[in-house]
Amino acid sequence: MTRDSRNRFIWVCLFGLSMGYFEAAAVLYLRGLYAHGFPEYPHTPYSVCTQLHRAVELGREAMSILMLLSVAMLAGRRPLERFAFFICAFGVWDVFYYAFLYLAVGWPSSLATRDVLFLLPAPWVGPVWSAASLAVLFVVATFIYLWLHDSGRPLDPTLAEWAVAIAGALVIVYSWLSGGKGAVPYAYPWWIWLIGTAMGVAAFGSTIQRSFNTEKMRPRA
Amino acid sequence: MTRDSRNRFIWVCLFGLSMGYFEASVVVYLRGLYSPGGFQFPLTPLETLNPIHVAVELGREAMSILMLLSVAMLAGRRPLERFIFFIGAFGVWDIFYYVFLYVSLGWPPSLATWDLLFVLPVPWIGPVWSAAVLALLFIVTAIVHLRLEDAGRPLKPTPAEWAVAIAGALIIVYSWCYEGIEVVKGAMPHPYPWWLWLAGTGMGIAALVNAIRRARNRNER
Repeated sequence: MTRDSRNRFIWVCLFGLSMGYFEAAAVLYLRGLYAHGFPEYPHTPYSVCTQLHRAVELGREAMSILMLLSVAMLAGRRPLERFAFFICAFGVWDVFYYAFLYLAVGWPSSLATRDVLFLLPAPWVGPVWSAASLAVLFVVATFIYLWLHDSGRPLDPTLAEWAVAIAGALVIVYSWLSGGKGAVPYAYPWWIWLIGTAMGVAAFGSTIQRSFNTEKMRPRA
Repeated sequence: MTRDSRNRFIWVCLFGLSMGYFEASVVVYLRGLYSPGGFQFPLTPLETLNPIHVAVELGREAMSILMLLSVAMLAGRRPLERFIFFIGAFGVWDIFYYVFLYVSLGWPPSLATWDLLFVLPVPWIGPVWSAAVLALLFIVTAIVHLRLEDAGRPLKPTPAEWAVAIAGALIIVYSWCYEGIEVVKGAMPHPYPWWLWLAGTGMGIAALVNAIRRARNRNER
């Protein structure tokens, strides 16, 4: 990896770390306001929050995306690289959000703990592992993208690979949205998550394989 | 301004906007916990606050700086440009923090309202205008720098100009800090020494104007 790519990767990771801290702080205070009746659950059932806090939380979810997008636009030089930095910042943010929350209040108690992952357009509910393992995959994928690009083997996904990856992402989101309907006892459809993740990994693996089969380009200066 | 500079400036501003929202949302929740009747001086005594919340807030101040630094490192190509993007993001963040807080809580009721501006290494307190005006100046400085640089007349502050600007900044910080510790212990702040702020800001503006004048007098590159 070139020094330039490595530096940008490191700064995007440091940004993700600081964003994870901000997110953990916001959730910690929300928990202080509402979690007395829901000690096992960092996000209180939505209906309990005041109208103001509900509006602020919805806005914060949207602003999280804008924040990640702005960092990705500043870090990347090309569209695919911007996408890679977006998912990388997203991944580091997510992992450190859980790490800082665990340090502050000992939550989540295990990787199987249920969490509300996102709120738009409806609550996404799943075990911590389902989000954290994807977050790690996002960071690894970005690292591989940069490493291959700087080795003269840039990734160039085909339309079919994009379609499979996006379909996989939608399958994973469905597994989370289906968990938000409040079924008790909660049983996460992990097999849906596994199918979606496998589709994404397969599309990425196929792109990597093609990049190795094509003639090596001149490494990036 | 070139298209590249303009795009980076716009993304840095959008980042600052989203960071301002994040900061405001955290403060909305904190005020829900500790100042449900409205934030005002004297402050809630430190020993009555949850020690985890105090520690998290101290960490969040440090993380704010890391967040701004990472964005500046990604946006800028040269050291001075990184500094410029740092203060540009800082300025937008600060202004939108107050805007979003005003929209959600109706606070601050006026620009003369006292605020706890920062907490490291000691508490900084001052009226909202003293921070907001500097934030505006930071944004204007960033625009002037980018315009001059793209016109082939980059700012190149001399060591003397840096010294005057840094001395001015220290005077402003002193105007915020000199009674911060007593105020955090529950004392009411005395009238703000606006003349110190004015002297410090005047020194910063003088150093900047001198650097601009020298840049304009240089032959176009």
